[in-house]
Amino acid sequence: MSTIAIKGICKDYGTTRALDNIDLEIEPDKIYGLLGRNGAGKTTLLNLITNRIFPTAGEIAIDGESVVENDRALSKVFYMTEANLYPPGLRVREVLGWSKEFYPGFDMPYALWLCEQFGLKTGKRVKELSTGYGSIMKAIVALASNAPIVVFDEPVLGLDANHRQMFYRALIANYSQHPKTIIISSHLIEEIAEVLEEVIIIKDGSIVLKQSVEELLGQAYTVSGEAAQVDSYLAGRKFAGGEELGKFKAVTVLGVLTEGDRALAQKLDVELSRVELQKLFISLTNS
Amino acid sequence: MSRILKVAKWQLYDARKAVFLFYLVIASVLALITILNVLYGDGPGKMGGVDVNEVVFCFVLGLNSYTGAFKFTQANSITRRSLFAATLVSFAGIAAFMTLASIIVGTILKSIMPYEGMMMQLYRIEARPTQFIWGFALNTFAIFLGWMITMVYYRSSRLQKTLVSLSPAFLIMGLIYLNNRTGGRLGAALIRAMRKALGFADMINPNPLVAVFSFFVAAACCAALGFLLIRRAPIRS
Repeated sequence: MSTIAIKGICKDYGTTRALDNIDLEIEPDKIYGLLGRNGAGKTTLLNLITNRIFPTAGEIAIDGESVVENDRALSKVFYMTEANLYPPGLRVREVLGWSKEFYPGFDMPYALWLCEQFGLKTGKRVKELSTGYGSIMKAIVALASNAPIVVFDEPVLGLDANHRQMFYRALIANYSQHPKTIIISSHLIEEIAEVLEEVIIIKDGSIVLKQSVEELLGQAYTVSGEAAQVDSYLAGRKFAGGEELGKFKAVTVLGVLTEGDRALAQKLDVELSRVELQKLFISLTNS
Repeated sequence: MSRILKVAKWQLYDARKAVFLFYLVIASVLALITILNVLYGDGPGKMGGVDVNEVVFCFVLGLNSYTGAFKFTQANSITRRSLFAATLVSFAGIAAFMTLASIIVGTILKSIMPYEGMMMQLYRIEARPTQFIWGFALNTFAIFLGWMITMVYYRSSRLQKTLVSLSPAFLIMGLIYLNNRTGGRLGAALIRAMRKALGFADMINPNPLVAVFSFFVAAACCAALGFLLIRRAPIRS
């Protein structure tokens, strides 16, 4: 059970402020989704949590211990980065072997089983792996590390639909067996939505939302139908973003769905449906 | 501590192939020279200073030791401080192994043909313990010098890299200019200082242990500068 406490974190690159006064608490044994548009500051935040870079101001602690150059705190984290940091000449089985050296809880039989499931040949060198198989190797190391905190930055980069599905299944199975804190940063929001318990949305270097996925999706819904009827429904309501295709219109309405809303929708002949996390994300980050 | 030793173990593992290839080449070249000497020479020829190759190898190994190890340790959430401590351990191990191997190669060569190692050529001393300490100090300095140069490049911006690359030329030109301005006194003073640092204050009875001290001080300076550069090093692709 490991908690990450982030207090007043700022990160500047020259004159650009990448993160601005972030306060956040990552609770143990939950799956978080860190969402944000390109350049929002997601990777910067993950790099700071894992001591890859240093903050301009503020502090990050794991179980009360600062992560800055602290082996004890960092030994609780495995960070799967988008970039490959393993030596190109190393074979996959060597990567697994050395991961076991640094993560004593590393589950080698499980890692080998995952390699077999994904079709990853352990005799191949890192430089011989495609982008997809490179991601698979890193994801396998992350899952088998058994670190109390596992951070994934774009874990499904280059993976085909089949492998992505396998990864999500493996992630859920792994989490069910060994609950841990998982942070996933991905642009494939709709795909990871099924896996997430909480979502953190970051925009222009600031946290704009941290909420459980269930609660978040319960606070918005989609109304769709003929544009004129949808506009009538929207009168006096708070909404964010939408799509129009000919006479058809679909809009994300911000608010909890009531019986009165349902009755009005029936009267106007518009459809009400559960909002998609991705659409809600776009609405929240576009304004 | 255990993490430091594991990183050191990784660094030694990483260097094993280069060391093996180096000695394979050395062995092949020596075998070839010996065969040619015996077959076509007027008896066995004379050789000297093969151990300078070990020093060059240590320098090149140092140059190639930082970036890969840094990325790999970052992938495994190891702190920079632990990487630095592990580097001290593994470099000491590599320098010691190379020195020992160099003494063994020298001994083998000596049994085949007249041979003099660097130490014998410079100081006329053949005592094995002194030979080992001197070689170890020199190899340690060479490996840390290479490592520090890579660290400087790693932390530099493109402009800084250019300036660092040009700095030896500027230094030499500056020294030549100052030497001319001082009527050759600067050059003479530098040579005197170098002689003293290498234990040649007394040219008839040179003292290699002074050089050992100088090499260790120089290695410590490289390591210290490297530590200052590594402690806030970010990941770069």
